[in-house]
Formats: sequence, C-alpha cells, structure tokens
Amino acid sequence: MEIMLTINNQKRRLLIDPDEFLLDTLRKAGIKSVKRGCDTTSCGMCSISVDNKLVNSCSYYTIRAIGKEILTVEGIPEEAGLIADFITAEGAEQCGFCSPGLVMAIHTMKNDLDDFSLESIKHYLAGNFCRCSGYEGQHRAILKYLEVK
Amino acid sequence: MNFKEIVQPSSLEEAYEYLANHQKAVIIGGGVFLKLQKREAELGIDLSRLPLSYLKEDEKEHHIGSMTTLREIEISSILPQCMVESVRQIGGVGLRNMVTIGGSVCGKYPFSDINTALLSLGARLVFFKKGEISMERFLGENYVLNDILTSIVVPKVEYSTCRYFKHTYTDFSLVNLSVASGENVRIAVGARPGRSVVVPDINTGHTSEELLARIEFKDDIRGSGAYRRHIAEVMLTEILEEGLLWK
Repeated sequence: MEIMLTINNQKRRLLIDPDEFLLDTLRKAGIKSVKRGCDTTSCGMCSISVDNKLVNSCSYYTIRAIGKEILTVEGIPEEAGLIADFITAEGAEQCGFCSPGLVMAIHTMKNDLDDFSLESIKHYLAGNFCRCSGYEGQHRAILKYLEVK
Repeated sequence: MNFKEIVQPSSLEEAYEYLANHQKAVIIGGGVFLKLQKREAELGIDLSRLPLSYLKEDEKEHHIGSMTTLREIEISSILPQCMVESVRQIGGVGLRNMVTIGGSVCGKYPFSDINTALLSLGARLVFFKKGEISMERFLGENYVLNDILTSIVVPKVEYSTCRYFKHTYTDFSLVNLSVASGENVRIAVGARPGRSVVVPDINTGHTSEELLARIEFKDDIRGSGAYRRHIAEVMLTEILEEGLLWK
C-alpha cells in the first residue's frame, strides 16, 4: 500500500506492507541511523521520536505513524553533533551502534523530565543499552551536556 | 505475529463489526507482545485511532481508557501508587510509550506487573458489548470474550503499594506482589510464574508465610518455585512492617 509519512519534517510517499514496522520503512527510505538490535523492544537501538514521544521503531506499526511527526537523529544534526561532542570528550564512544538511539532518547528526555537528577536520567534511559561501555562515561557526558542546554 | 491486513476503525461499532465478521481477527492494543508471537492472522484491528486513551476520575473511582499507555500511567499524579510503581520497570520509556493497559489485561500475560496491581485494587473491566466483568474473574477463567475492552475501572483506595523482583532493571519480574487497602485489604501475587491471583481469606493477624501458604509458586527457567515463594514472603513482610495496612 502507498502512504504519506512526515519524516524529519519532509513529506515522503512510500510503499509499505500492511503490517510493516517503522524501522523497516525508515531504512528503506534511506534513514540508516535506526538499527535493528534485539527486535524485541529491549535494547533501544531503534529508538525514534513519534509526535515527540520516544518509541522503539522495531515494533511500531508504520500505519500508526500516518499523520504524525517522525523524528530520527538525521532530523536533529546540530543537537546530535553537540551530544556526540560531549560523549566523545568523555571517551565513552566505542562502536557507536547504540548512539543514534541514545541521542533520540536524550532528545525526548529533555522535554519529558522535570528533574534531571542522575537517578531520574538513569531511569529514563534504562531502555537504551550500550554493550561496549559501563555507562559511566555516558552519564558524565549527559550531565555536562544538560548543564550547557 | 504477521497480519495480512490491518484496519484502523474510527468508531467502536466499526471495530466490533470487524471482530464479529472475521473469525481470524486479532485486536491490536500496543502490539508489542503480539509482535513476538509466531502466528499468522488474517486481520488486525488497530484501536489506536479510537478515543480510548484517557484518565478520568470521579469521587470513588478512576476510569482508564484501554488504549492508555503504561508511560501515561507512570507519569500520572492521580492513579493509585501500586499502579504507578508496577509499570516503572516494564521495559524502557520507548516500550512504555507503546504498550497499552488494555493489551496487558487482555493478553492475560502471566509475567504482567500491572495485572497484579489491578487485581489487588479490585479493578473492573468494561467491555463494549458484554459490559462489566471483574478483573479477578477475567484472569481466573479461560474463555475468550470476543469483545473489545474499552476501559478499566479502579476504585480509589487509601493506600497501595507494589513490589517485584527482577534479575535486571527493565527485565520481566521473577515474582511480583501488590497490596491495596481501601474498604478491605487485598493482596495479589503474580509472575508465580502463573497468572496473577488474589490471596484468599486474609487474616490481619497472619504472617506473610501464613498468608501466602495457599498460593502456588512454580519452577521455570528463571527460578524455582521455592525461591519465588521466599522472595514473595520477604516482599510482603516488608510491606506489613510498614504497618500502614493493619491499623
């Protein structure tokens, strides 16, 4: 079926299967920042924002996104670059596979949280895994980034 | 689960028509756990375009729309504490933004934390055609309703709390337990690993061991029944020692 989606503020006409998930639709549309990690909504590699809500695109039906604002890391280059600067400054970045999902989670977190204590940040980001690191570097980077923002 | 077709009805009547006229139709709530099931379905009925996502309250009760997400429950400031606590470690925020309370209830998932909380609160389920049924009866019986859950009614209580034990943050619970104290005290236990059940015949003089003696706990790959029982007893003791319930 043919549908219209709004991806990173651009209208896109796309051909999809009826039960297709947004992860596959986005990758077919050339948005390669979204990754299939676990495919069971556990790891957060496929995290994106739909109408300013963080979702796991591996399990989000594409037809549910019709008429909504889809945002991936490609849509926030400046913010993503700034967050990346903080994370690399802490030496936390290794393989980089989880970074786009983590950046999207940080992006929605800024709107969703009132309290930016380390505890509430850790709770918010608990669904975004990193298998290289021990998270300490990322946490330092996020706290410093939030101070700047 | 794969669907040959997914429809997005714009009214409950239309959704029910699809359900009544298709033998192999499956209702999609959040769709997250459905996705993990290896099945084929002719028709998926997606309820996300219906106005079923809401939290309302009157003097005595909360009314929760069946398509309300677990994240909305988590950040609600009005719902009973045990509900809010129960959803906090169900996956990450992304997952909780998709998973619906109606999908959790209708899936009768034995690992569910929210179902244990709802059971302790004495929640009632409101179906489109067949009307109200108690959560306890719905979980306890094995029939398929072939109806659409529209809302969940939760009585307001004075005090409630929920505990669960997980190997890691955001994992499935090894066992969970919820206590609510309103007109009377209700205790529910879930992830035993069987479905959530209510602890019968509560005597306020009993210890947690005595209270849980008649509840069945079983072994599975995640832990033994004896281990689950012990954790449940410790969690219940902790709640009882807070002493808020029995006075």
